[in-house]
Amino acid sequence: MIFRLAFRNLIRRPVQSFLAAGAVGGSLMILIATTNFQEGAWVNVVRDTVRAAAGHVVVQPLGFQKSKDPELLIPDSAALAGTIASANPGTTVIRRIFVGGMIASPNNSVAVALNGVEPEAEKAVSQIPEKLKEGEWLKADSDGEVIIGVTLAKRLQVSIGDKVVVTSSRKGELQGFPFRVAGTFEVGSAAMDAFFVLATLSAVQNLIPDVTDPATQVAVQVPEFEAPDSLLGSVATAAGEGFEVLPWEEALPTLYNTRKLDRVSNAVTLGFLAILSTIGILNVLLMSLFQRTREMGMLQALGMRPSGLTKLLMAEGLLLGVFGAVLGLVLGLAVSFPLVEYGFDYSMMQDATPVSGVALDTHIKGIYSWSHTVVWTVAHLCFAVLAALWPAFRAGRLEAVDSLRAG
Amino acid sequence: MLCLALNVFFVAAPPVQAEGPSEAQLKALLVKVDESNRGEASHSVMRMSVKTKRYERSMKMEGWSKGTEYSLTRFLEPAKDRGMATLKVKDKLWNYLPNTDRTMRVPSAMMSGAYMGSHITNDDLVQGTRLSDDYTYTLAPGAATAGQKTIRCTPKPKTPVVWGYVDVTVTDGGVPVEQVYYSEKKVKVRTMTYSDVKEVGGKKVPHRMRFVPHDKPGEYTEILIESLKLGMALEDSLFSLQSLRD
Amino acid sequence: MLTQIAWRNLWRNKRRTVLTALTMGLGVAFCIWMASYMGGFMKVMRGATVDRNIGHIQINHQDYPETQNPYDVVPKAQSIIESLGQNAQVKTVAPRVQAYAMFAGDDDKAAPGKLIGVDIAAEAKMTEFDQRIEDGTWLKAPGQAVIGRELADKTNIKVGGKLLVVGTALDGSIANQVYPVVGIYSTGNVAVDGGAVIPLATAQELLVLDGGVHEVVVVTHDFDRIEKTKAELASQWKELSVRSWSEIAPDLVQMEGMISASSLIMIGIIMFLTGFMIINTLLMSVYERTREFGLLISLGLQPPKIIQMILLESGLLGLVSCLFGLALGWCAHMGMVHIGFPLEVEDGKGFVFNGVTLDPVVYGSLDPGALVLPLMAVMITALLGGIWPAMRASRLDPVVALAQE
Repeated sequence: MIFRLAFRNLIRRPVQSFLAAGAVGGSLMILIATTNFQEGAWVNVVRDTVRAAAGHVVVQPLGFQKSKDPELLIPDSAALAGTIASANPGTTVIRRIFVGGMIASPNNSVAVALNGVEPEAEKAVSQIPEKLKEGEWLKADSDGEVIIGVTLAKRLQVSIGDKVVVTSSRKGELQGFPFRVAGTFEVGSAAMDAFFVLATLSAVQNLIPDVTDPATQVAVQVPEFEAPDSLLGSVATAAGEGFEVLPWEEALPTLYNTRKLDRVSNAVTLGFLAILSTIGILNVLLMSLFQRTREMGMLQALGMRPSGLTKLLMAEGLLLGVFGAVLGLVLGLAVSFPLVEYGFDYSMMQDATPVSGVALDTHIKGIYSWSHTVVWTVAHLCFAVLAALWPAFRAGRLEAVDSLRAG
Repeated sequence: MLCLALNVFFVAAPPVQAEGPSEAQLKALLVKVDESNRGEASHSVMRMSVKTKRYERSMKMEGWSKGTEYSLTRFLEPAKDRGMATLKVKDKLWNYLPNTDRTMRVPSAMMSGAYMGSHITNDDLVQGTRLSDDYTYTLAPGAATAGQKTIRCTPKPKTPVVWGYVDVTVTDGGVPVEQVYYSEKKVKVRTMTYSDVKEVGGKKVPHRMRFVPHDKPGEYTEILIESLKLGMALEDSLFSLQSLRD
Repeated sequence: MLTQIAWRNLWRNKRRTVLTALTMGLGVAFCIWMASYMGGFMKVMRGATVDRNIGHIQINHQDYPETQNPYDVVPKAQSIIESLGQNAQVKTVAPRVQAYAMFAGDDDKAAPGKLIGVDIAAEAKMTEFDQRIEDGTWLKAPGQAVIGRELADKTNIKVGGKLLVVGTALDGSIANQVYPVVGIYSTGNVAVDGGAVIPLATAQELLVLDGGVHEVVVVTHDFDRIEKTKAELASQWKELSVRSWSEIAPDLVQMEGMISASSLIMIGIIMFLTGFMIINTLLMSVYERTREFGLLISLGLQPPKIIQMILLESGLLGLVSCLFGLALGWCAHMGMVHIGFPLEVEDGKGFVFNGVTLDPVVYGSLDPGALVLPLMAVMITALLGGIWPAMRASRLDPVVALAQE
């Protein structure tokens, strides 16, 4: 009954009701869209970087994280990977090796960073196979092939199919092998396009004859976005002594810190938007409710009890809140849709900056962050109801006579 | 340094047999030459001239070598470089810098760098002969000049060299005339020419070697042997870090 | 006269006016705070990259920017430096020699790295390099060297030890020399920390540069006038390359662009939200005074005048909001200036961007020009928000209006 009355009251002043609901809705829309976009950006970045440059948990030679000394290697890596994999079913275990080396063509010779990878496994996680400008990605038996960046190809004056000689500069023992350029990539990062050379794990291992089956990193990944907390311990136990076992937050501190930083500044901004919208909603509701003092007096004179008035106003507040929330939810999702489906490509504005050695995808897509959406929606409903409290209780305490005189 | 001159990548073939030598024969020749050079000692005084886009230099050096594995070179001129020395033992290289009285091992990162500002890289100095396992040998196409043969050395798939093939021209008497390095795309990348052949210790040795990079027109590095003695007894201990300093 | 009436109208309902002004003012205040933060952040970024590293303007050999070839030297640098010294716009001139060399300590463990030759006094003045020394002291005399922390670790050299430098001189000979290490520095720039710094004359002698240098870095007095100064210098030395920092580090320019863009978006959002409020406030105020308007119209007040009055009301409301916002924003800015915003990554160290470590605290920095936009935005929103209520009021039928309760 009260709600019907409340509803009719709102309908009587369509413009004001719309503005009030609009304030709630507009603010909710902005918060939902912004959050979805920001969360999407971060999810993409973290997922891509973690998978491409590390893993949810990585096993590295002791002291590698600090010194990044390319001389440090894990011997017998296949056995280690196998042990870890069987102890942790459902995970993907990938091996990688990073060493410094030289690549030479008839025209030039350049110092480069050699990355030995497992072609099939790496294809699933790395962005480079998608950024190939010419040629093809490595295959399991491509021991004689390398993938280099376009800038490097230019410096060496080579193209697909040309021969190059790759040497590893490890402890003075120079070991070199001829390779063919199987593909060139363009990631958009000056550093990577000029210095990254990719080959199969076994090919790079051949360049290091003094260590058996070496790897620099055994990376453990799970298909979900976040790994369970138990993973770290489980991998560490399986690996045993003599290694450093790190979660990605420690293996990629730059990424982790950048995300922390961004989260902080986002929180500040969103927090402020929330405050602003609350006050705005409060303002709008308060005013629309306050100015109906005479009306309140009238109702009282007609027999409505003070508590009834309070309930009426609360009901109006609630309804406005609901309308506004629905409006905001719909609009918020509508705005999020193109952001999630098509995303926003800022490559025209900026060179892809590598973070932790992975060039970020400049095409950012949002994702639907339902947890945030629910939180914001409920919050706005509460704001609306809270905003109605003050005028509602005030209305309850009015003297009919005074009210009638006012206005 | 002399080992460089004679042995940069391949060794001059000794007398080549009649028309159409088989690959096995070419191969056998190179093996034989390599063995004959093993333990061969030399002592020489040379002059190296370098002309690049940026500068022109002329240096005088005295060098000792034993086979292809050991060599010691000391710089005599110009005055600024006097006392500098380079020691090669197998595939390791050291430089002695008198200015600072320091010995520095040339790290792998610097191997592709130029040697003393010339067109020859540190790597070139260190590369010994690569034998039959690494190359296949055929006669190069085209008309042959009388008294000379041009052998086309094509690296086998597993050989870690950047070249498509190298054409080595030698006289029938086994004296090197020219070495031309081609990329796989059949483009001439560099040429080494030998001339001024003189007889020393019963052998015919070219006394002038000229190295020309084709992608840098006008530039060259030339080595002139001013005096040469072969076949003396040289102690292995000569080729040590101590000698480097003296 | 109309203005006075409009003003008094505003204050007839104090609560409503104050509430609206407060909310809008808060929006303005937030924009100001954000501008202060962004300003401070850009200052930190600029300080780290422009002021302390690449300078405002750089003069190089024509080909050097592209080739980075150590043979591309600016000849007769001394005369250029002197001439720059006499230019009123120029604050500091720091010539530099840049080369790659091999370094070694007492053993033969050689490490490649960057060798930089600097003017001892000018470099300290410009980049405050002398404050980056962690152990030992800054360069004091020719023939000395300071090395980066990374190089010190790689070669095991300590203060008082000797640094062997081997490189290729311009005449093709092997440049080699041993210098006493008087200090170890840490700049946060990975490339610089892996190398060594020696006095300019020493470097010129080592590399046989014959008085040439690779870059002449200039810091001017007036940041905003840089492009003009650069043009002047370029016309003075036509055969050399003269570039401003925006040409040398375009990614910094892009970053600034992105920050401006996001500020604009924020302002837009805030104006959108506050727009609702203005419209609501004015609509209600107009609605309450329906009878009054009816009276005024029947007494002869022309509709245009009514529009004017209401627009004045909204304009004044906007003005009050601005004042309030400015006051609050100023406090926020002061807070930023004195306390700052922590931008730490791990215990006291700053965030690393492009190989440079930024300060761990961002202090507020406000360019008065940055205030213009939010204030204007509020005023425009206020006026726009007033249009509809004003139109409605002007179109009231006096008979109906007077009958209204």
